[in-house]
Amino acid sequence: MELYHDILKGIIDELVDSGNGDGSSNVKPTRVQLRSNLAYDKLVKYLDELERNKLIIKDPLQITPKGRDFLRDFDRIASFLIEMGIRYFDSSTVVGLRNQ
Amino acid sequence: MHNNNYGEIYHPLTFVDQLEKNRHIVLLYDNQKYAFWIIARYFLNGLTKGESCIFFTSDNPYEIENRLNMEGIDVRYYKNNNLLRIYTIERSDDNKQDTLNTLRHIRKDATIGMKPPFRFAGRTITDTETKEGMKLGIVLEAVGNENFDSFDNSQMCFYDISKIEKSMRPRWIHDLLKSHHCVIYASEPNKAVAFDTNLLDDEGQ
Repeated sequence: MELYHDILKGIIDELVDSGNGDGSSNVKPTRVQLRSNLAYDKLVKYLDELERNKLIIKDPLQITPKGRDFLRDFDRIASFLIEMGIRYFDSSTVVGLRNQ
Repeated sequence: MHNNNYGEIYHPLTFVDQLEKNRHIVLLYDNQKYAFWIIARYFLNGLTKGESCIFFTSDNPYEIENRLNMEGIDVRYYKNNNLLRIYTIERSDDNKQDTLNTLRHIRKDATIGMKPPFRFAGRTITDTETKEGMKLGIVLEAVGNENFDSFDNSQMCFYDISKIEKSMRPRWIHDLLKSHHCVIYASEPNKAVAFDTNLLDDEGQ
Protein backbone atom coordinates (compact mmCIF):
# COMPACT_ATOMS: atom_id res chain seq x y z
CA MET A 1 0.00 0.00 0.00
CA GLU A 2 2.87 2.37 0.79
CA LEU A 3 4.43 1.66 -2.57
CA TYR A 4 1.15 2.49 -4.27
CA HIS A 5 1.11 5.73 -2.31
CA ASP A 6 4.70 6.61 -3.25
CA ILE A 7 4.10 5.99 -6.93
CA LEU A 8 0.83 7.93 -7.01
CA LYS A 9 2.47 10.77 -5.12
CA GLY A 10 5.33 10.66 -7.61
CA ILE A 11 2.87 11.03 -10.49
CA ILE A 12 1.05 13.93 -8.80
CA ASP A 13 4.31 15.70 -7.92
CA GLU A 14 5.51 15.29 -11.47
CA LEU A 15 2.26 16.77 -12.78
CA VAL A 16 2.52 19.72 -10.40
CA ASP A 17 6.20 20.39 -11.09
CA SER A 18 5.67 20.26 -14.81
CA GLY A 19 2.98 22.89 -14.36
CA ASN A 20 0.04 20.74 -15.42
CA GLY A 21 -1.78 19.84 -12.23
CA ASP A 22 -4.89 19.20 -14.29
CA GLY A 23 -3.41 15.90 -15.43
CA SER A 24 -2.85 16.95 -19.01
CA SER A 25 0.93 16.62 -18.83
CA ASN A 26 2.75 13.72 -20.38
CA VAL A 27 4.35 12.18 -17.29
CA LYS A 28 7.41 10.04 -17.97
CA PRO A 29 7.66 6.76 -16.01
CA THR A 30 11.39 7.35 -15.59
CA ARG A 31 10.66 10.59 -13.70
CA VAL A 32 8.17 8.74 -11.46
CA GLN A 33 10.82 6.06 -10.94
CA LEU A 34 13.24 8.69 -9.64
CA ARG A 35 10.65 10.18 -7.34
CA SER A 36 9.49 6.83 -5.94
CA ASN A 37 13.00 5.39 -5.69
CA LEU A 38 12.04 2.04 -7.24
CA ALA A 39 13.85 -0.24 -9.67
CA TYR A 40 12.36 0.19 -13.13
CA ASP A 41 11.11 -3.40 -13.40
CA LYS A 42 9.33 -3.06 -10.06
CA LEU A 43 7.82 0.24 -11.10
CA VAL A 44 6.47 -1.36 -14.28
CA LYS A 45 4.94 -4.18 -12.21
CA TYR A 46 3.30 -1.76 -9.79
CA LEU A 47 2.04 0.47 -12.60
CA ASP A 48 0.28 -2.60 -14.00
CA GLU A 49 -1.29 -3.27 -10.60
CA LEU A 50 -2.33 0.35 -10.18
CA GLU A 51 -4.00 0.31 -13.57
CA ARG A 52 -5.72 -2.99 -12.79
CA ASN A 53 -7.05 -1.40 -9.59
CA LYS A 54 -8.24 1.62 -11.60
CA LEU A 55 -6.00 4.05 -9.73
CA ILE A 56 -4.10 5.19 -12.83
CA ILE A 57 -4.25 5.13 -16.60
CA LYS A 58 -0.93 4.13 -18.08
CA ASP A 59 -1.11 5.58 -21.56
CA PRO A 60 -0.66 8.46 -21.17
CA LEU A 61 0.35 8.12 -17.52
CA GLN A 62 -2.24 9.85 -15.37
CA ILE A 63 -3.98 9.42 -12.05
CA THR A 64 -7.70 8.61 -11.93
CA PRO A 65 -10.26 10.12 -9.50
CA LYS A 66 -10.08 6.83 -7.59
CA GLY A 67 -6.31 7.23 -7.36
CA ARG A 68 -6.73 10.75 -6.01
CA ASP A 69 -9.21 9.43 -3.43
CA PHE A 70 -6.68 6.83 -2.35
CA LEU A 71 -3.98 9.48 -1.90
CA ARG A 72 -6.40 11.65 0.08
CA ASP A 73 -7.42 8.70 2.30
CA PHE A 74 -4.01 7.12 2.72
CA ASP A 75 -3.43 8.41 6.28
CA ARG A 76 -6.90 7.32 7.38
CA ILE A 77 -6.43 3.85 5.91
CA ALA A 78 -3.07 3.51 7.66
CA SER A 79 -4.61 4.67 10.97
CA PHE A 80 -7.49 2.23 10.54
CA LEU A 81 -5.10 -0.70 9.98
CA ILE A 82 -3.04 0.27 13.03
CA GLU A 83 -6.19 0.61 15.16
CA MET A 84 -7.37 -2.83 14.04
CA GLY A 85 -3.96 -4.32 14.80
CA ILE A 86 -3.29 -5.35 11.21
CA ARG A 87 0.42 -4.98 10.50
CA TYR A 88 0.43 -6.42 7.01
CA PHE A 89 -1.85 -8.26 4.62
CA ASP A 90 -1.07 -11.95 4.66
CA SER A 91 -0.95 -13.47 1.20
CA SER A 92 -1.92 -16.89 2.57
CA THR A 93 -5.48 -18.06 2.87
CA VAL A 94 -7.81 -17.12 5.71
CA VAL A 95 -7.48 -18.75 9.13
CA GLY A 96 -10.79 -20.61 9.06
CA LEU A 97 -9.99 -22.30 5.76
CA ARG A 98 -6.44 -23.16 6.82
CA ASN A 99 -7.76 -25.10 9.78
CA GLN A 100 -10.30 -27.13 7.86
CA MET B 1 -32.10 12.01 3.21
CA HIS B 2 -29.78 12.03 6.13
CA ASN B 3 -27.99 15.22 6.97
CA ASN B 4 -25.02 14.96 9.27
CA ASN B 5 -24.19 17.39 12.05
CA TYR B 6 -20.67 18.15 10.93
CA GLY B 7 -21.40 20.38 7.97
CA GLU B 8 -19.74 17.97 5.59
CA ILE B 9 -20.56 14.73 3.82
CA TYR B 10 -19.80 11.72 5.98
CA HIS B 11 -16.80 10.27 4.22
CA PRO B 12 -17.93 6.67 3.49
CA LEU B 13 -21.30 7.79 2.12
CA THR B 14 -19.59 9.02 -1.03
CA PHE B 15 -17.95 5.62 -1.34
CA VAL B 16 -21.36 3.93 -1.01
CA ASP B 17 -22.79 6.23 -3.69
CA GLN B 18 -20.02 5.14 -6.08
CA LEU B 19 -20.22 1.39 -5.43
CA GLU B 20 -20.16 -0.73 -8.53
CA LYS B 21 -22.58 -3.61 -9.13
CA ASN B 22 -22.20 -6.92 -7.28
CA ARG B 23 -19.79 -5.91 -4.55
CA HIS B 24 -19.10 -7.84 -1.38
CA ILE B 25 -18.61 -5.25 1.33
CA VAL B 26 -17.65 -5.59 4.97
CA LEU B 27 -18.94 -2.84 7.24
CA LEU B 28 -17.02 -2.63 10.51
CA TYR B 29 -18.48 -0.25 13.05
CA ASP B 30 -17.79 1.04 16.51
CA ASN B 31 -20.97 3.10 16.64
CA GLN B 32 -24.32 1.76 15.48
CA LYS B 33 -25.53 5.21 14.48
CA TYR B 34 -22.91 5.47 11.74
CA ALA B 35 -23.52 1.87 10.68
CA PHE B 36 -27.17 2.67 10.02
CA TRP B 37 -26.24 5.77 8.05
CA ILE B 38 -24.25 3.52 5.75
CA ILE B 39 -26.77 0.68 5.50
CA ALA B 40 -29.68 3.05 4.87
CA ARG B 41 -27.77 4.87 2.13
CA TYR B 42 -26.76 1.56 0.55
CA PHE B 43 -30.40 0.41 0.55
CA LEU B 44 -31.83 3.72 -0.59
CA ASN B 45 -29.42 3.85 -3.54
CA GLY B 46 -30.70 0.43 -4.58
CA LEU B 47 -34.38 1.09 -3.89
CA THR B 48 -34.42 4.24 -6.00
CA LYS B 49 -33.09 2.14 -8.88
CA GLY B 50 -35.82 -0.48 -8.40
CA GLU B 51 -33.53 -3.07 -6.79
CA SER B 52 -34.80 -5.41 -4.07
CA CYS B 53 -33.21 -4.98 -0.64
CA ILE B 54 -33.10 -7.65 2.05
CA PHE B 55 -31.90 -7.08 5.61
CA PHE B 56 -30.76 -10.20 7.50
CA THR B 57 -31.19 -10.05 11.24
CA SER B 58 -31.70 -12.22 14.28
CA ASP B 59 -32.94 -9.16 16.21
CA ASN B 60 -36.48 -7.83 16.40
CA PRO B 61 -37.50 -6.96 12.80
CA TYR B 62 -39.61 -4.00 13.98
CA GLU B 63 -36.57 -2.39 15.56
CA ILE B 64 -34.73 -2.68 12.25
CA GLU B 65 -37.70 -1.19 10.40
CA ASN B 66 -37.78 1.71 12.85
CA ARG B 67 -34.08 2.38 12.35
CA LEU B 68 -34.44 2.34 8.58
CA ASN B 69 -37.47 4.63 8.83
CA MET B 70 -35.47 7.03 10.98
CA GLU B 71 -32.79 7.13 8.29
CA GLY B 72 -35.29 8.24 5.66
CA ILE B 73 -36.46 4.97 4.11
CA ASP B 74 -40.23 4.69 3.65
CA VAL B 75 -40.31 1.13 4.93
CA ARG B 76 -44.06 0.63 4.58
CA TYR B 77 -44.03 1.82 0.94
CA TYR B 78 -41.11 -0.33 -0.11
CA LYS B 79 -42.39 -3.38 1.78
CA ASN B 80 -45.81 -3.01 0.14
CA ASN B 81 -44.09 -2.87 -3.23
CA ASN B 82 -42.10 -5.99 -2.42
CA LEU B 83 -38.80 -4.15 -2.71
CA LEU B 84 -37.77 -4.35 0.94
CA ARG B 85 -37.76 -7.30 3.32
CA ILE B 86 -36.47 -7.89 6.83
CA TYR B 87 -35.47 -11.54 6.82
CA THR B 88 -35.04 -13.29 10.16
CA ILE B 89 -31.95 -15.45 10.50
CA GLU B 90 -32.12 -18.19 13.09
CA ARG B 91 -29.92 -17.49 16.10
CA SER B 92 -28.29 -20.89 16.15
CA ASP B 93 -25.38 -21.40 13.73
CA ASP B 94 -25.53 -25.21 14.12
CA ASN B 95 -27.08 -25.80 10.69
CA LYS B 96 -24.63 -23.64 8.76
CA GLN B 97 -21.65 -25.99 8.46
CA ASP B 98 -22.37 -26.87 4.82
CA THR B 99 -21.20 -23.44 3.80
CA LEU B 100 -22.01 -23.04 0.12
CA ASN B 101 -25.38 -24.76 0.37
CA THR B 102 -26.21 -22.65 3.42
CA LEU B 103 -25.49 -19.47 1.48
CA ARG B 104 -27.47 -20.63 -1.55
CA HIS B 105 -30.43 -21.75 0.55
CA ILE B 106 -30.62 -18.49 2.51
CA ARG B 107 -30.30 -16.39 -0.64
CA LYS B 108 -33.09 -18.35 -2.33
CA ASP B 109 -35.39 -18.36 0.69
CA ALA B 110 -34.85 -14.70 1.50
CA THR B 111 -35.73 -13.52 -2.00
CA ILE B 112 -38.85 -15.58 -2.69
CA GLY B 113 -41.31 -13.42 -4.62
CA MET B 114 -38.84 -10.58 -5.13
CA LYS B 115 -37.29 -9.40 -8.37
CA PRO B 116 -33.53 -9.15 -8.99
CA PRO B 117 -31.14 -7.37 -8.77
CA PHE B 118 -30.76 -7.93 -5.03
CA ARG B 119 -28.95 -6.02 -2.32
CA PHE B 120 -28.38 -7.75 0.99
CA ALA B 121 -27.29 -6.36 4.33
CA GLY B 122 -26.43 -8.55 7.26
CA ARG B 123 -24.58 -11.74 8.09
CA THR B 124 -25.30 -15.42 7.84
CA ILE B 125 -23.85 -16.21 11.27
CA THR B 126 -24.96 -14.69 14.54
CA ASP B 127 -22.18 -15.67 16.94
CA THR B 128 -19.17 -13.40 16.53
CA GLU B 129 -18.11 -13.47 20.18
CA THR B 130 -16.53 -16.93 20.28
CA LYS B 131 -13.61 -18.43 18.36
CA GLU B 132 -15.79 -21.19 16.95
CA GLY B 133 -18.41 -18.70 15.86
CA MET B 134 -15.89 -16.44 14.15
CA LYS B 135 -14.11 -19.37 12.54
CA LEU B 136 -17.37 -20.53 10.96
CA GLY B 137 -18.19 -16.96 10.01
CA ILE B 138 -14.86 -16.47 8.26
CA VAL B 139 -15.25 -19.72 6.34
CA LEU B 140 -18.73 -18.66 5.19
CA GLU B 141 -17.42 -15.25 4.16
CA ALA B 142 -14.46 -16.72 2.29
CA VAL B 143 -16.54 -19.34 0.48
CA GLY B 144 -19.14 -16.70 -0.29
CA ASN B 145 -16.48 -14.40 -1.67
CA GLU B 146 -14.93 -17.10 -3.84
CA ASN B 147 -18.34 -17.84 -5.35
CA PHE B 148 -19.61 -14.29 -5.27
CA ASP B 149 -19.99 -13.87 -9.02
CA SER B 150 -22.38 -16.82 -9.13
CA PHE B 151 -24.73 -15.15 -6.63
CA ASP B 152 -25.22 -12.06 -8.82
CA ASN B 153 -26.03 -9.62 -6.02
CA SER B 154 -24.45 -7.06 -3.69
CA GLN B 155 -23.94 -7.87 -0.04
CA MET B 156 -22.95 -5.66 2.86
CA CYS B 157 -21.87 -7.76 5.86
CA PHE B 158 -21.79 -5.72 9.06
CA TYR B 159 -19.86 -6.38 12.24
CA ASP B 160 -19.83 -4.57 15.56
CA ILE B 161 -16.09 -4.46 16.24
CA SER B 162 -16.56 -4.62 20.01
CA LYS B 163 -18.45 -7.92 19.61
CA ILE B 164 -15.80 -9.69 17.54
CA GLU B 165 -13.98 -12.33 19.58
CA LYS B 166 -11.25 -10.46 21.40
CA SER B 167 -8.22 -12.75 21.72
CA MET B 168 -7.78 -13.06 17.94
CA ARG B 169 -9.57 -9.92 16.83
CA PRO B 170 -6.79 -8.57 14.54
CA ARG B 171 -6.65 -11.94 12.78
CA TRP B 172 -10.44 -12.08 12.34
CA ILE B 173 -10.55 -8.56 10.96
CA HIS B 174 -7.63 -9.31 8.66
CA ASP B 175 -9.51 -12.34 7.33
CA LEU B 176 -12.72 -10.36 6.95
CA LEU B 177 -10.89 -7.80 4.83
CA LYS B 178 -9.38 -10.58 2.79
CA SER B 179 -12.77 -12.13 2.05
CA HIS B 180 -14.51 -8.96 0.84
CA HIS B 181 -14.04 -6.60 -2.10
CA CYS B 182 -14.09 -3.52 0.05
CA VAL B 183 -14.29 -2.35 3.65
CA ILE B 184 -16.18 0.50 5.25
CA TYR B 185 -15.12 1.62 8.71
CA ALA B 186 -18.12 3.37 10.28
CA SER B 187 -16.68 5.44 13.07
CA GLU B 188 -16.41 9.10 14.06
CA PRO B 189 -16.21 11.35 11.00
CA ASN B 190 -12.50 12.09 11.48
CA LYS B 191 -11.68 8.35 11.48
CA ALA B 192 -14.22 6.82 9.11
CA VAL B 193 -12.84 5.47 5.86
CA ALA B 194 -13.75 3.15 2.99
CA PHE B 195 -11.53 1.47 0.43
CA ASP B 196 -11.05 -1.55 -1.83
CA THR B 197 -9.26 -4.32 0.04
CA ASN B 198 -7.15 -5.34 -2.96
CA LEU B 199 -5.12 -2.19 -2.30
CA LEU B 200 -3.59 -4.08 0.61
CA ASP B 201 -2.50 -7.09 -1.41
CA ASP B 202 1.20 -6.27 -1.66
CA GLU B 203 1.68 -5.60 2.06
CA GLY B 204 4.61 -7.36 3.66
CA GLN B 205 5.94 -8.74 0.39
